[in-house]
Parts: sequence; structure tokens; C-alpha cells
Amino acid sequence: MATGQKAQTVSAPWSILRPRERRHKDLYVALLFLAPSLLGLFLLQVLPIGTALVLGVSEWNIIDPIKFVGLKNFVEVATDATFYHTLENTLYITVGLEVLNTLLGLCAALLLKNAMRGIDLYRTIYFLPLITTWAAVAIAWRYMYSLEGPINAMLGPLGIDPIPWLSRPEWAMPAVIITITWKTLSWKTIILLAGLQSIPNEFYEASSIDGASKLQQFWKITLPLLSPAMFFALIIGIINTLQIFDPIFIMTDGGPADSTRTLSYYIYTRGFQNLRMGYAAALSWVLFAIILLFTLVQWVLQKRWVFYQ
Amino acid sequence: MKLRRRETVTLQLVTALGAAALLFPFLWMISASLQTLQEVESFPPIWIPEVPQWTNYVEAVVNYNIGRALFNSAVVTTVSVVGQLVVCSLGAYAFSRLRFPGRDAIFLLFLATMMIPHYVTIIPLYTMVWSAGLIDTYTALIFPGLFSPFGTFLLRQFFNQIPISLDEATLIDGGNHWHIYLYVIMPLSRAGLGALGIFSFLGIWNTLFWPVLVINSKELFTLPLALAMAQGQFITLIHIQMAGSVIACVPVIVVFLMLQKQFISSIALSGMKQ
Repeated sequence: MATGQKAQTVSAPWSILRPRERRHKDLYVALLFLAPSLLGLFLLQVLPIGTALVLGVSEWNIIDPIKFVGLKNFVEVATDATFYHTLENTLYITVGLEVLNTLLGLCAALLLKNAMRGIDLYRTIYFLPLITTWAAVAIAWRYMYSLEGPINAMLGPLGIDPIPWLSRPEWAMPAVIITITWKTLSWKTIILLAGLQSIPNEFYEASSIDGASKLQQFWKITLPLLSPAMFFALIIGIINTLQIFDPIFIMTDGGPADSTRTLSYYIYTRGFQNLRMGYAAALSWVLFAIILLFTLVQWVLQKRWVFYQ
Repeated sequence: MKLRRRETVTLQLVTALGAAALLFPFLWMISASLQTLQEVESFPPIWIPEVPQWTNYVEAVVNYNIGRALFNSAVVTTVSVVGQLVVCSLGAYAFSRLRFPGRDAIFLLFLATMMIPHYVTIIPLYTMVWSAGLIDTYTALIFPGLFSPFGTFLLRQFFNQIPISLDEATLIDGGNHWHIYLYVIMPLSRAGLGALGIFSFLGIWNTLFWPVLVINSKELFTLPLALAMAQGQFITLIHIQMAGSVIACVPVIVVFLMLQKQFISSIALSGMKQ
């Protein structure tokens, strides 16, 4: 879908009007049609964004009067050790999720591409985790991770001692990453599957006549032609990971010892557990800046690996 | 030929293994929801309950607030989804079919707000709701779902594909824009409305963050909030919590099975969020 596509309007009955009149002819009707949207845009976007700018340079605990403090919040962010720790956690979870989701999502897409018996059922099963309620499945995972839970019970026969998944700082983040991978994997799969299906079959036919092996086809045809889909999925995937909330709220509450407190969860902590609205707003602008920077860097780097037909 | 066959069998096997791994948490959830408290706490874990305890579901609904939460979620989701479809389709019609000064600039503003992360707007939104005295109300739960820049954008793209000649025919027959919207555009945009419908349904039904912020009293808990809050409240009653989790998942799975095609093609088109 092209975003730049200009909407055409009905022209015939008004062609006798002068250009200025034609441009304004729908103004009042348009105001009626747009009124609810404009109200929504104002109340849910414009006003909150403006307020976020004000809050970013203020101190407010909601109860006492709001106080203007200039750039103090941002200076505090720059020297806040916990902030840097949450940044590390954010990097950890983002890299971990992107690597796992891309590898497994690609495998799943390559599997689901094939016409086999029961493929519709398989596809439905693969997409189930994505659509179900985070709160519900995260609670299930929390119990599955318990010391005497089903996951450790299955690892036991393999000779692996029970792992303290959610109770030790070094294990909590891997556990959270595994759960989020399980939940969001099929989002990657859908994008990559659509990418795979758009690769013309003739490429494979022609290359196998020339004697190319399956592996060669994968490296020389599939991967390059899939790179635009992978690029798209990478950008959106990272933006989503940077805003994660539900699984951390349910499974770890940022702990143990801040080991799963990502920047987004830190915003929630400061804003709503410590009631520091100004500081949380400043942190949210930092998050915005990071998302913007990440996307820009990806955009510049894409020339090196994304191949457009 | 023989090799081809072996290949297919391997493929099928790997796909089935993946499906089993992805299904496992659901199966465990269902199994745990049908066990007694003693069974669910035993080690090694019991995979299949001796006698399925269907009363766990009754218990969850009646005694542990899940029934009330189910009702709240149904009300909030229905009103929000219907409202969002109406608001977004009206706005999209203006952008697709009407001519007025500043149209493209306003549309660009809609698109620009989609770039701002949720975390930037949610803190001020909370303070606004708090200042307006709307904490702990249905209004607070519903109104943020009524409008979506993404929804407006998505529907405009669908509307743009409908030929203008149909509008002209309606106008020549003496109709106005309201008629075009209601009798031409809406009936011809079922796919787009279905896609936006399932996105907003899943988004609103599953949402946890916003209810966590604006709801305090049990009577107004939505299902995800009720499940999350049950964690601290009856932490040992795993079987009841799992029954609640199953209850929360069933409606989304049913809706997904009905609108699967639209959901998947729309993700592939727009890359909508997780």
C-alpha cells in the first residue's frame, strides 16, 4: 500500500466551480466526518505529547503542585546508575530476542511455506501464542519456570539440575527472553513467510537446472531476496521490544536485583511506583530518542545488506 | 523419488515437533486448570489429572472475580472496537473522499503520531485521567480505545481502492456523502473493517498496562488485570489461576479462528505490533 497515493475526489459535478471554491467545497462535510477523529487526535495524542514535554522539565508527584525544574531531570538521567543498568538490560533483551526470533522465525517460515498434509492446522498452532493474552500465558510460564515445575522436570532426565529460572539474576533474563520468543516468534514468521512467498519460483527452477544445490539456493536466492522483509521485521521488532511491559510485570517485576528491569519497565517504575511523573516523562523522551536513533542507524546500514529487486 | 519422500517425512516431523513445543504451555495450562491443588503442587509434576476438576472453572468465575472481570472485558472491548471502527471509518472517509484545505497536512499529523512510543503519551494520559477524576471508571478504560491513527490510516488505504465512479453514481442519483459512506464505502470495505476489527479486538482484550494504571477496585478489573492481580492475592491457587487464564484465552482464539486470514494478511501488509 502506497502511503503517498493521492486520494481522488469526485470532480465531475463541480467542474464548473472556480478552483478556490472547489478546494473548499467539502469543508463543512469534512469537519463533520473528521470531528471524532480530530477530538481523539487532540485528546489522545497532541495534548499528551505537549504535556509530556512540560512534564519532562518539571517535578510532579501528582499530589503536590507541579514545579518547573528546567533540565534537571535530564541531568539526573545522565548520572543515574540504574538508568545505565536498565540500558544494558534493554540491549541484552533486544539482541537476544532479535537473534532468537530471526533464526527460529526463519526456520518456522521455511517449514510453513511447504504444502504438506495438515498445513492449515500447523499454521494455526504456530500463530496461537501471538494472539493469546499476555497476562494469561505469562502466569503459566511463571509456574512452568518454578524450581519444581514442568520445565525443570523435563530437564531432569537429560541430566540437568533444576535451574532457578526466575529467582537468580543470571537466569531471569534468559527465562524472560525464552518466553517472549515463544510469544512473538510467529509475528516474525508471518512477515518472513510473506517475503518467502513473494520470491518467484522460476529462480529456483532455473538455478536447479544449472545444478545449484539446496544450500546454494538458500544462500544465493532465498536470503538476498528475503532481506527487505528481514529489514522491515528487524526495525518493527526492535521498536516493539523497546516498549515491552506485560511479561516483565507478571513474571519478574523487574527483578531479581534489577536484572530484568528494561528501560521501558524503568519508566513504569519511576512514574507509577515512585510517583515521579517528571522524571518518568524525561526517561520516556530518552526512550523515544533511542528508538529514533536505532531506526536511523538501521536505515543507513540497510544499504550494506538489504537487497531490493 | 525415494529421497523426496524421506525429505517430506522429515519436514513433516520437524513441523510437528515445533507445533508441539509451541502448544506445550497451553496444554500445561489446561492440564493444571483441571487438577486439584494437591496435584498441581506435587513433584514431579502430574501431566494428566486423575479426575478432571471442572469445578475449578466454576470456582474461578464465582469466587475469584473472573466472572465479573469477563463481563468487564466484554463490555470494554465491545464498546471500544465498535467505537473505533465508527470513528476511524468516518475519518478515513474524509481523507479518502473529501476535498478541504489542509487535508494532507492533517493526514501527515496522523501518521507522525504513530511514530511516538506509547510510553511518551501514557504518563500524561494518566495524569489527565487523574485530574479529570476518572480513575476507576469505565470511561477511563474505554476512551483511549475509541481512536487510532493506525486504524484511520489502514481504512483510508482500503477506501482508496474503491472506484470513484461509484461515488459519482450515488451523487447523480441525488445522494450525499453520508449515503456514499454508508451504502457504498462501508459495504465494500468488509475486509478492511475485519482487519482493523481483529487488531483492535486483540489489542484491547489483551491490554494490561492501561488498566493497571487507571483501575484500583476489583469491581472494574478487566480479565488481564484480574489475572495479574491474582498473583499476589491467592498465589498458591495455581489451578484456579490457570482456569482463569484459559477463560481469558478462549475468546481470542475463537475470534482468531474466524478472522485468521484477514489477521495474517494484514500483519504481512502493515507490520502491526506484536
